[in-house]
Amino acid sequence: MFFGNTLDKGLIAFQTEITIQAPRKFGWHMYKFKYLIAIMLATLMLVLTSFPIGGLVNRALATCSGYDCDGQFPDSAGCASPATTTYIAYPASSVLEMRHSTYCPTYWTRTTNTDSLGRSFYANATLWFSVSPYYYTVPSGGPIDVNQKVFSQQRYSGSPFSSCGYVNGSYIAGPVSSPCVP
Amino acid sequence: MKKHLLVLSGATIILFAISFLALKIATQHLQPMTVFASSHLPVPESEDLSVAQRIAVPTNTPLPGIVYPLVQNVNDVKMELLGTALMGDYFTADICYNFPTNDPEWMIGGMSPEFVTLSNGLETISVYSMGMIGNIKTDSNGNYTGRCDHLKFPVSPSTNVNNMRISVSRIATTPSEVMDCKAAQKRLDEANQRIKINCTQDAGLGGFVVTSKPQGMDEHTANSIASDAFLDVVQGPWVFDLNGK
Repeated sequence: MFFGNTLDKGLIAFQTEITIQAPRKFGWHMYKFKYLIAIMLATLMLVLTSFPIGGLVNRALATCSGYDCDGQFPDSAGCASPATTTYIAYPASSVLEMRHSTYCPTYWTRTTNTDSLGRSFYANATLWFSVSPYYYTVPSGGPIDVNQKVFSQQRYSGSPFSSCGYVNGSYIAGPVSSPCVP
Repeated sequence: MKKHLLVLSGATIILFAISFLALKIATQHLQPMTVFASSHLPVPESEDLSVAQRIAVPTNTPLPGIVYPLVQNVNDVKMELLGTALMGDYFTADICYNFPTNDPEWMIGGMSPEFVTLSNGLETISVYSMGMIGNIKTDSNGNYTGRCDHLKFPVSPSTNVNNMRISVSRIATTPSEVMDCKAAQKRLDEANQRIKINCTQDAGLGGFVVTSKPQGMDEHTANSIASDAFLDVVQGPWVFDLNGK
């Protein structure tokens, strides 16, 4: 209907022509051919759905891998999901995590304001590693609300070894060296 | 006709075999890479706990003779307590558990320490830190099946460690840096929570805020409900009584 009645009528005429004019033997072959295609597609779908296709999609979403990810933020690089919290601690009014990307596979630090009284705080997330520049630190520019989080750039090289951060009533320039995980 | 059928059947079988082999090879090469950076780092003996609550436990008090592992199976999630120890200012516990789904983001407790507690009948304290032991467990197909964690509870030197109890009230996925606000709002609406949220996303910053909530609901409750809308949760509890005789 979108293309108008003329095209619709033409399509119907074309389909009718094939149905009517196809020789009987050719028609039988066509029927079997379609049957075969259907079986093959069903088989292919069965095989495909038995594999972790979601993983392939997630991997494809990442725009970097390994060293290429150094210094990039995990969310913009497509590395944030799926990710694992390898270490977690609960300093006052906050959650401090070392996060690990499943596919990139990089590390970063995340600090979340979880204050039970609903107060906003400044926050900092610092990731330490063993080669220059030795750390990434991300302070929040202003107080962040409860359930807001700051996270550092991600790092693959230099064996990231510690995540540090907390929330506070005043600005935290960083780098933070306590509290940390592990 | 029989000849045609034989050819068609043969072609289908060959296609199936080729597809299977190709995908098997592809998935083998797409297994998550093994990362050894932080997994082998030693757990420090102590951490800055100026703000953490402590319960009183006498230093060097021997733990009761418990036969490990202690196993709890709740809601199809098997959890094993492999062992406990008093290490300086901490009571530690090693716990393994299987994942309810093929998702590497599951962990015990999650974004709140109150879901993992240690009690001695008189006092209850929340976990202070957890660290993954080794790597996430996978099966032969690369599916994520479980993990083990080293838990640390801050203690102080004057308490009875007999009849201690470790409780894990739930396991949950961790929220991503990229918040799916639309899906979370849909969950809240479907549960008729009357909570509205708004997500923010910037370089190094993310999360959500509750923009409206029902009258009479306190902010902490609204935040907890909204936070859970971003997660998958399996409720326990898994309870381990450390009262070995």
